[in-house]
Amino acid sequence: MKSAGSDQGLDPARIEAVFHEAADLEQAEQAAYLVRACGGDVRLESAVRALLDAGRNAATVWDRSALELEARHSALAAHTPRPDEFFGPYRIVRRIAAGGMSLVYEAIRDDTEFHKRVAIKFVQHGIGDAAGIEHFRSERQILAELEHPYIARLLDGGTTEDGLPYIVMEYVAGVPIDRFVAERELSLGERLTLFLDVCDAVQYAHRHLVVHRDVKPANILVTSDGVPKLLDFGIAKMLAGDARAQATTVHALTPEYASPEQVLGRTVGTGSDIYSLGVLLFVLLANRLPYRADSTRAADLVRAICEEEPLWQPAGLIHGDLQSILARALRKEPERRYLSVEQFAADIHRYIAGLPVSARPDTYGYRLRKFVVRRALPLAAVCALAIAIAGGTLSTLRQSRRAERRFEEVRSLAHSILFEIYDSISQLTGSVSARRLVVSRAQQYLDSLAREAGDDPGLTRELAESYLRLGDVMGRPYTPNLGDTAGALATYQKALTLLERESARHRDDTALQEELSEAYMNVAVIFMRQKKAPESMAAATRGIAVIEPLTKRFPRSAVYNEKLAHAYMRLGQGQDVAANQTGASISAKQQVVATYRKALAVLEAGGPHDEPFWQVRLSTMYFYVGYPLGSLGDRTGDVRFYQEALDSALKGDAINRRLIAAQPDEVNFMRRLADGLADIGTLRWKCCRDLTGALHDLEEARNGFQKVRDRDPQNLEARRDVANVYHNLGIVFDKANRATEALDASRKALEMYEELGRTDPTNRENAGYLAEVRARIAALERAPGTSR
Amino acid sequence: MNGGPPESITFWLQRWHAGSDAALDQLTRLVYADLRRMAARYLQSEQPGHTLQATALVHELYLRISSVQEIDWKGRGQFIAVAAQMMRRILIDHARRRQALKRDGRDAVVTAPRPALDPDVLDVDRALGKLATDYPRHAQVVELRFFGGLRSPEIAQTLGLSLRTVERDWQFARAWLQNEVGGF
Repeated sequence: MKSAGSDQGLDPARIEAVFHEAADLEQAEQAAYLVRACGGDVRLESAVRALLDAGRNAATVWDRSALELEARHSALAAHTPRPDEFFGPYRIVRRIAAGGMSLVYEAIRDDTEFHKRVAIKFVQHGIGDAAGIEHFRSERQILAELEHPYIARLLDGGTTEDGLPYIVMEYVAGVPIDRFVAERELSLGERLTLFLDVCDAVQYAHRHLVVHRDVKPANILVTSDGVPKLLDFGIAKMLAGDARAQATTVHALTPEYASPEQVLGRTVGTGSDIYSLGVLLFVLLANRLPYRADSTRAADLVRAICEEEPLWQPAGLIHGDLQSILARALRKEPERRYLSVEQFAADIHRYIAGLPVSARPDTYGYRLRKFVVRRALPLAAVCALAIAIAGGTLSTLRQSRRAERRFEEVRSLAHSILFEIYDSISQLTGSVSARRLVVSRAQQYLDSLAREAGDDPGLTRELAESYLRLGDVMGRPYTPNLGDTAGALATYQKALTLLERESARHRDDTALQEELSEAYMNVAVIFMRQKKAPESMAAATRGIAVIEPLTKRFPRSAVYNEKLAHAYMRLGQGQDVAANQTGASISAKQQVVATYRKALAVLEAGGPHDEPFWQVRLSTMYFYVGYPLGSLGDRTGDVRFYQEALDSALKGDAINRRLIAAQPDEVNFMRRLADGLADIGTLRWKCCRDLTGALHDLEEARNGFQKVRDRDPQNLEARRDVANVYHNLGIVFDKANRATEALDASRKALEMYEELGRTDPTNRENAGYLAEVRARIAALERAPGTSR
Repeated sequence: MNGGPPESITFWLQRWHAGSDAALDQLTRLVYADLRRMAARYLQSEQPGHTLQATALVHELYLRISSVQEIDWKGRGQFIAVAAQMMRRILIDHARRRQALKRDGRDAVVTAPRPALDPDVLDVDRALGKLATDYPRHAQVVELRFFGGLRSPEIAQTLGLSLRTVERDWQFARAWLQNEVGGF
């Protein structure tokens, strides 16, 4: 040990003085100061420097009291089994292994008749908390139910004097399987046979509804007779029964052998063991992991496990069908792997017998699919991680003595899931399943927060905001969403309840009024989707009542003007649907036009006309004005209505083309342009019988929608759009008396609507279209193709 | 302190303050026995992995004695210092016995896994002895804090020092001890 203070000839007071002077400085300045202050006295300088270094490391260690330290040491000593110490009839011989959660000792049973070597496993010191002990008990429970020649047997169990459980297992004198095959230089056939024995053990466990979850060489010892023994069901899980075992737990697992779903913290089933067995077989045959050698950092490894194809070269002993077999076991999606260990083993048996195996080389289709899934994965991993952590936090929310702090944690987590993680995901295409996961978790968090929130105004607002956001994600029409309209409405209404309560208390709070109007609007939109016009109009009217006073107070505010325009638009939509439901009188329809024009006037009067977001709104309103005008045309046969509608729509289209010219890759603009063209095409036919122009626009629309859909095949809106345009093509062809093409387009539309209906059954708009298109098809089929 | 009737300590404290030397002996015996019994119970009941309550026994004693208004701080300070020394001795004894037990099984392969960051009380005790040669005041601060569990303002009051001095002494002593015991 170095000695600083008692160095002979050094003045203790001087050391201390220099130490304090230096310690008060930034670390970067200390060295220069020391040189100056010590004036060439190297011993003084090095003494103080040693103290400064030590001081930096000493920060927390010395905050403990001696009593605490002694208690810890003492507890440790008391709980460390010593040689010749007895636990039940077992005498400790030596320690074999220290794992993350447990210590394993070799022990001997000293009964008179026989000596028997056993392995005793104790809960690791310092982890003797309730969770650790519970874990340990469940392993004991699991092992007690498993009796298989290739699984290390449970012999006994007990509890130490200190109340810690231990389990006594068959002692396995063996080496890890990867070392065994290497040291014995086993042939390919021998390796496969040994691996099949391991499969047998895992398969047995699966049949007893136990997933091992940590299959790796260190847990498979092979005796000198070549018998493998599966060990350590420490993180195994019962598939049935105990509900507690289903809870998400984050384990320190060995990522090299972990499955993608394990790494991502998802539900883990037997498929996970199949994956790990695949990695094991790969290692046994190729003498390396299936991942690139540079995947040593945990983050790289996680990426490799979740995203990268196995690296097949250098192949080692992996040839021909073995590659197909491994590829199947190592697939990222559990459902694409072998369905059971039995099936996996059967393929190896077939390989050994020289028969064709069931696993096929990857097909083109499989690869394509993978590509789409792949891009969403890194973020999904981030989410899963966040979710896994929060899951643990949440489960202890109520019982924790530090509930306050945890509450804050959960709150910020729910928030970041919704606002940050979801945002990043929704930027990506092809990410719907990742989003669904995020959403269902977020919902759980919010509901539990809402239950615990009480009357805290700040929190109430935050919650409301989060619910609004969640509702958007679930099913906000006309934006990418998960197609859960009913869920979205329920979620929006939760927000509304909270906001109404708060707003009643704070009338002058403009931000709150804004949010309230926003919530009304969202609800109005959803009611709209469900064709509940009166409810929708009521919500929109309330929204207007909240926002209109604000625009009066702040006439130049683009934000309030925008919201007011939006509210009028929603009201107009409600009126439109109500009008349709009540016979679509001309005056009712004209009222709709008037309301839409109010919205348009608000937009035209004030706002940043150069900004894309404003242009978007303007163009939308131009098209909206056209809708009821189009219906008026339908109803009266007066083409002037169509012309008026077309004029308005073309103004919108001009804006759309400016938008897409500025940002050609923007999906929303693509969709918008196509949307407009679909309307314009129809109007061209109606107002002017311009079939060529109409078909040209409609086809451009269809191409645009398909481009959007192909970017994200699971996006319901995009699918609905393609269906709608076929629907419109059907109408135009029909009107132009081209029955064959009309029938063709309508059938395509029908097929798509039917599929959409299955995905989102509560969407009544869809149901309406379905009815229309069915009627058209029926009519077309009844009238035999008079014209072609 | 839960262990003994507080009246008796207060009583003897007052007697001591009134000038009775016999009272100090009585008091020391009383407190020592008390501390010992409580420490033993504390050290035994402690389960591995449990987070300890930071409040140490001498600290509790401090709190109790502080409430005895009749005695001036010099007297109280002396007494607290004595109690911290007692605690130190109790813990050292305990650690020695523990070490002896460990040595009994020294031929074995089994070794207790040593938590990486915990200094052993015996090492600290030895280092503290060395610290006291050059920095007796600092050593006293450490004794009250580390063995006695007192906080800085309490130490300042007990030793009649400014809070700033106590904080700086501790900062220095901590670095010194870390350097001396080091390597954990």
